[in-house]
Amino acid sequence: MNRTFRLWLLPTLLGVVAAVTGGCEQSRTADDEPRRLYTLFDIQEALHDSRPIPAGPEFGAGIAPDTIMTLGASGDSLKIMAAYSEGAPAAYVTTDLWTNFPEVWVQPWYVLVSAWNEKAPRDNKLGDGTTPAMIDVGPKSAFYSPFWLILYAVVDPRATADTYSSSRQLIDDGAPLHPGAPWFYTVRPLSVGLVPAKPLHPILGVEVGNVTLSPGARFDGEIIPYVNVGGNNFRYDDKLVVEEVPLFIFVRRESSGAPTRIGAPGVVGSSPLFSRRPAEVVGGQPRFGAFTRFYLAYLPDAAAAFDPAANPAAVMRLGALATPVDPKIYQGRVAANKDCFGADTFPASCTWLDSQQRVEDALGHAGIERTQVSAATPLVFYGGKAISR
Amino acid sequence: MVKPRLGRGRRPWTLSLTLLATMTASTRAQAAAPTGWPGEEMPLPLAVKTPADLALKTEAERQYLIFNLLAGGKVAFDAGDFSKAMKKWEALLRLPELPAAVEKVVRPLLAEAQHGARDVAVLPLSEGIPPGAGAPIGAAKPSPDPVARTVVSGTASGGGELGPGGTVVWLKRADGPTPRPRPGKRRAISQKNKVFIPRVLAVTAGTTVDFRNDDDFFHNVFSLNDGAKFDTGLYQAGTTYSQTFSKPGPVQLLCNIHASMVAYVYVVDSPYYTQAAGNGAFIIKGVPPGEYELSAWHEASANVVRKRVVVRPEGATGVNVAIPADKRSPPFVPDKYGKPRQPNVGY
Amino acid sequence: MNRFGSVAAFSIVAVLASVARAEVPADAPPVATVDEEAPPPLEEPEGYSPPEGVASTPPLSISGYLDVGFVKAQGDGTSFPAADTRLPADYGVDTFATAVNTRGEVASTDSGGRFVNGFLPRSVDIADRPSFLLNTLNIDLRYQTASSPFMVFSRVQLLPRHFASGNDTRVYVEQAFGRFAPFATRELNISVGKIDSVFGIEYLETQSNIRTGITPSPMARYTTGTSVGAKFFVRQQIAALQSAVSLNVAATNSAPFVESLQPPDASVAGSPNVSARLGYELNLRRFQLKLGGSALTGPRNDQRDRSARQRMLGADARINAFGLSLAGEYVDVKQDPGTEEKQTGLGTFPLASGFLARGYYVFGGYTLSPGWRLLARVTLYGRYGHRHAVFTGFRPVTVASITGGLRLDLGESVILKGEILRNDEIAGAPTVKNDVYTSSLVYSW
Repeated sequence: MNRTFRLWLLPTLLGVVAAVTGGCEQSRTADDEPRRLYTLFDIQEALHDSRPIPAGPEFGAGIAPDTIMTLGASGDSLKIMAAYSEGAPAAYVTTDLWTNFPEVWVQPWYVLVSAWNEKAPRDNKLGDGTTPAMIDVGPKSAFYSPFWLILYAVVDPRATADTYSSSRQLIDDGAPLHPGAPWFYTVRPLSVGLVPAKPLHPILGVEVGNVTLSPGARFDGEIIPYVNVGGNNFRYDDKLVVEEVPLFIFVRRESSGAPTRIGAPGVVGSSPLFSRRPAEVVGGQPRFGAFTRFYLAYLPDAAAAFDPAANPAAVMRLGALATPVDPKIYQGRVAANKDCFGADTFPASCTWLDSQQRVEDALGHAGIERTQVSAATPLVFYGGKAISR
Repeated sequence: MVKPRLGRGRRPWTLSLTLLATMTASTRAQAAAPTGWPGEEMPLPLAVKTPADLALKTEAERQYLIFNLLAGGKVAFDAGDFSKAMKKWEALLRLPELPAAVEKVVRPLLAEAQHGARDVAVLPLSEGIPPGAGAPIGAAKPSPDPVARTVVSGTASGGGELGPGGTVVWLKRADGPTPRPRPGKRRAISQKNKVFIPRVLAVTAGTTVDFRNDDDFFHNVFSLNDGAKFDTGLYQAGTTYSQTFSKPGPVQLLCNIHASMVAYVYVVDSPYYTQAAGNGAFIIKGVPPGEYELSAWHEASANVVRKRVVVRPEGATGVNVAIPADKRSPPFVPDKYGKPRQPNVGY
Repeated sequence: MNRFGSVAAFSIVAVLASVARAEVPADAPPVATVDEEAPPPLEEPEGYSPPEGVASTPPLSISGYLDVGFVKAQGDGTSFPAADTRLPADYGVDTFATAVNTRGEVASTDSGGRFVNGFLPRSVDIADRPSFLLNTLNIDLRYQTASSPFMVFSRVQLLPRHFASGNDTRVYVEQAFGRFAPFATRELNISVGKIDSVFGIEYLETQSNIRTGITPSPMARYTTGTSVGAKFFVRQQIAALQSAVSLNVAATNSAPFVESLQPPDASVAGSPNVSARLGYELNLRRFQLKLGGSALTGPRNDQRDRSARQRMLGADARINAFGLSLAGEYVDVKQDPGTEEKQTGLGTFPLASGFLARGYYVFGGYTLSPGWRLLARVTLYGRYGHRHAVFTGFRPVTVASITGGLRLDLGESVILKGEILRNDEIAGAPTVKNDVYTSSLVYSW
């Protein structure tokens, strides 16, 4: 091969490669939205950058981070979101978002104890409770989730906080592992919490259940702070897949077919869509709601959200009931028959869309559209009461 | 010699004549051997009844004499008996009115015989000089090899798709030790068009072979055979590398750059060897009569083929050797470090 | 007869006898002793070359090998500890550890129902049961006429496998390409088709009749896959230094990951991966040194998001001297997190995590050549491999493997190997019993 040929052969070859590399067009459909997990770290970053969180075409430019978190001078705060669930006012916080994720899984959360007490598993925590828990999946993993299966690992009482740093050690040492309750902990930036310390329901103005801001769990040599929003607020199957329940967002269909939110509080479901499973509530604590998938609930023209300011007569009727009802109880609650707002039989004659079953019955499959967004939305207020921790 | 019984009453002179007749007959019979040679007298009796018959018979005898001297000299020449060949051809050339064509073919060979006789003088016992008694005045220097030699010829067959050509054939004495062969003359193997030429070369132990790169690019020659390992390294076009081969047996030659190149040097430990031509024919010259083991090696054969051969004074002809093509090609051609080369990889 | 007559008669007889004796060919001459050098042969053959075309190999060549193994894995044949509930289960262990054959297939990938996300090898599904396995029936077809610069090659492998779901015999086209060598005087060729890797050196030993041992190294999963694309090779000899430098460049659908990790037969991302290796070799008579550096960049071919990139860097070294073979390779892999579902040779999985791995192996083998017909070579070998890998956000896993084995070359066509593979979980992955005892009988033709 002469020198000239040798000199141009390789660049030509690479040029072909480069052309191929740069020349291919890629088509994308609505179903091809990127799969991403947005933790509080990502949401805070989006909030500070004033950019929406991409969530698919149903959400236009995306989900505004300030609907989840409030920017604060001394720290950012989780926003309390008003909702209805099982026919009563509710509220939740949003801590994590997933776009285009088919499933979310429960991960192990290791709590070190010096002895096992089945009736009071949290007794005998190592170091009198100061030893941080251990996790093996951090917020940068696509498989991170705030849904944990607590495993109480019985270790040598002489062990210190630094003796164990990974689940490998526990398993290698053969530490007995006792499963506890499913719990909701979400890792957070240190500057994210709840402000004020006793937050209020945005509509009712009453205190909601608080969250616990914990100093941290141990992960890969670091201590990561997290938010404790309680336990037993989700279910999972034998494959450790977290059960999702719907969170209905009320929209109207524009002439172009695109949905437009009506701005009313959503409805948090209690069981998988159209499963008709009764809601499980134990001691006032809902065993659902921590993991929801957003569904667009397309309202017919006859439906509307109740606005006390626009319906003074209805407000008067509420006050005239045997037990007067605060109109805030119904503020933003959607009725399938908005004409009932003006009826003498208000509010009994309204077909309220304030529970999963009622929404499903009223709108059916045709009126409910699944979105690509799922979220961690633990309830902090349910059945008209704050959820205690 | 037949020894007759003495009978009672026979006279001694009768006995002597009987002995004489018997010995003469025996001698004549022995002189008639080797088989196939017509002898110096015309075997066909031609009746002479007229002058024309006489003239014809005379001419026939003359032609027969020419043939005898011509062919007899060649037989002696092929057997290495240069002195005898020389005598016969010199006698032939002294014949009057010898056809020019005969003279033309005889003279070069006579020169070779004379040359050969100078180096390897064989003193025929018919001259009455016993071996080792010293050379007569004027004769060539005493031959270091006073042994009569003959020719072994035959055909190799088989060899698979390669055919029998190139088969290395050699003889080793079965009735005694085989003389140690001398190192042969320097040979050459060329690398041209990514091929070794020749592909198969037989040499005696101690022979030096020059490897010559006649291509325009680098080559290499190496062998992994035990006792014959060598590596020329890279050598460029126009250069030569020499290697002496000492250990008897086959030596496979490969090129570390071009996996398709292969050749063989077969090192024989016998002076009686040759290689078959493309059609399988082979001739080994200068073989003393006796009992031998003939061996044949071919690159397509898994083992050396052996057979017994009796070499008579007149030689051995029609020795057929069948070469089975039973050698399995190894899955990979090795590089010079013994690592397998994969043709699909290409480097 | 009187005395005179008798004497005369006998005298005549004696004379005639002596004449007769003279005409009788001499008895067998005295034989030269072995110490005497024979005279030079009358004619020394000049060698033989067959007519053109006779000696060349036929255009179509069919070769291959059969690899049969007997293997036993410890534990349940996987690296999954029962007590580990982290998900995906294949992120927290080395699923490739329990390799049983040269293909890198493992004894089992049964996670007990735990969710896995596509970081899996192929499995022979024998768990901890000792079993004979027909690892590979490999058939190579090569077509090349003597004078043509073109060659066509294909390698098809039949892989009988059994699973609880039934027979799962696969027919796998491992390679199929055409090669063009345009210049007879240069070591330069271009291959197009399904080709083997150009990254590193271990891809040269993916076939069991080539590899000294049995199981692949911990980094082989990243470097020994085949993919569809084009490859360019050139080598320049440097005679003065007894050396050569070579360059191998390829553009392929996927990185040279094994097909269970990244599909090779189509471009999922729509953009090729470019890889290259620059090599140097020193070829002395009894000592060979080969050094190389490799690199790769391109989109992850396990999803359509072209912005999710992957890159690899590698370095390799080999020494062959006096029957001793030493080799070592270092590989560094990094993959960006993907945003779509992940496609592998085993199916589609939900997510494509960001990933990085660093690892190396060192190999040593010593070969004795007894030169016996039925035992051509005996090779004792050992290898140490080390791999540190982490999926983004998951606890890092560090493992090591030690292999030791014996290889017997029974002639030129039959190889018998026996190997022990010891796996150590150093960090991140819980310790499990997952050593492997394996053997392989390979017959080549």
